[in-house]
Amino acid sequence: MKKDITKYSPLTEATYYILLSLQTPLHGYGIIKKVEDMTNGRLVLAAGTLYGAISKLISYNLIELVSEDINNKKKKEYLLTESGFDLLKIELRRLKEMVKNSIDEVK
Amino acid sequence: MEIMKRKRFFVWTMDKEKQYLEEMARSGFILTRVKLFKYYFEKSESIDYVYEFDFQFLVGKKEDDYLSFFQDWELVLRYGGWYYFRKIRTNTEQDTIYSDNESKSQMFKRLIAFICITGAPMYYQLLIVFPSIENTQTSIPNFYSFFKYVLYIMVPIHMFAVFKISQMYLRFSKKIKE
Repeated sequence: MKKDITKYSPLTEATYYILLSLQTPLHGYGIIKKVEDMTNGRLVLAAGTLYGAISKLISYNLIELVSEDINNKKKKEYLLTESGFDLLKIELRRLKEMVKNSIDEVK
Repeated sequence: MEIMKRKRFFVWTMDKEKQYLEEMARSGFILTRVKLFKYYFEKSESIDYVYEFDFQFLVGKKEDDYLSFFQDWELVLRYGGWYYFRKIRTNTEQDTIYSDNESKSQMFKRLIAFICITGAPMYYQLLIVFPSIENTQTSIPNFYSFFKYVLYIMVPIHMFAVFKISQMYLRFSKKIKE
């Protein structure tokens, strides 16, 4: 049973970056740092906002909790699900189209 | 040495509470704990802190998970479902725990859900239990009328709080559309 994930598109910039960062497992604070790195400090996710977004993405089955590190029991890690990855690809296609159209049109 | 200040802040005056705690920190009084309308401070040098409050109902592992998002913040205290965080002000967008109105409005939604659930037994007493006692019993015990008057006071206060917090919720959920 595959749910229709296209209804989540277009994603907000923050959500897009959360999904993008979760192709490898990360804990909450790790997501903040990785997104900050990727955008050279332009996009800093606020902790409370991110926590809410993560809970929502889990309920949409776009990301999932993966097994915890035994040595560091405080940290739970999140990872993109298959449908999360599909959504990321759909979004990337849309963004590419936007960029392509813009390069031709905006002078 | 710890000092105590009495201050009456409510959910709908939380911006004032935040300002108050930040001013106190700048004058060298650092918040240590909170009781109902009582704030305890420790004297120190002046610190330019920013305070943020969050409301969550979390237990055990969920709470650890939640707090692991806040490594840039110091958890000052927990009070009921409230979490008080602070960090040294950076004057950037990192000085906030909610960077959009949607997630902030969700906090008020959780709070409304919480006080509606905890307040529900009062309404149940008032609307269902009391009328049925009055219908079936001829002699009504004393404590019963006392209890009833307590509820006559509590229920309007509860309604007022729900109303004020709903206003906060609407204020932030409206800003999304603007």
